[in-house]
Amino acid sequence: MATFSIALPLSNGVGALLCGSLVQWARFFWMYAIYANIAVGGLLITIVNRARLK
Amino acid sequence: MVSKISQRTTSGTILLPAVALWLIAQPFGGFNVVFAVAIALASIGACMSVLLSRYAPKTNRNPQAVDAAPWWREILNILDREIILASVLSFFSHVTFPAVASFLLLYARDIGVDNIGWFYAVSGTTSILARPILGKVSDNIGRRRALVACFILQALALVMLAYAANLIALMISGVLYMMGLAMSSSTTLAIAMEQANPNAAAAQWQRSLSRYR
Repeated sequence: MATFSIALPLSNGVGALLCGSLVQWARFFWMYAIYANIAVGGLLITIVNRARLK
Repeated sequence: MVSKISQRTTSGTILLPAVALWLIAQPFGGFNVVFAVAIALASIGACMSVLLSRYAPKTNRNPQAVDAAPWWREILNILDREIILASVLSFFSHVTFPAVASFLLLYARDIGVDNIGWFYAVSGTTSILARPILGKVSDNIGRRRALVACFILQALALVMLAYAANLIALMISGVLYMMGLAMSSSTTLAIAMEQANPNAAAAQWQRSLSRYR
């Protein structure tokens, strides 16, 4: 379960870093637009691995 | 049970920004008061840990084994293939959270929205109430459908945030996002617990012992 435990703090750290960088470079609108695409990425991973998720 | 653990561990992260904003806005408040409260909460946590440590399961320590293993190998050893998928899905569902928690305060200021404490109050309440309910929904509809719903809700909320121009729009986005996050937290934790191999830890411990014999 250690791998799973790492995912949460890692996502917060990477997310905050990416968030700040995107706001600096592209302002808030594009930051939220890019983050919406990350959520779509999660959706695609779910669909690709649908056989393992029941 | 899983959703209850998830609810309790993340409720502080979601609710305390509203408390901090309220403290900053008070006549007696300010950043120093917020930091003092944070230090007090951490100290209470430390005291509670000491008091409750007697109830924690005992672990057998082997200092020689810990010292002998290179630190980088210990990092590689924690990668558990069985739960990589759950970990990746948890990562994708939580990586967008800072955009809705920490950075929303700056965004609200950028678009000229006041009283942003209401956003944290509404989204925090949604998260706390939704976790046990949506955890049961996840059990009923299946992990795949729950995760699809979670990522659709999060994507929709983030698109709405990009176009939000007032407090109501921000609050609706916050409610949608927290519903998605609530569903993903309990679902990914449940997947990890289901797919984790209970013998893997024991096998790894056996390998470690044989290396040091």
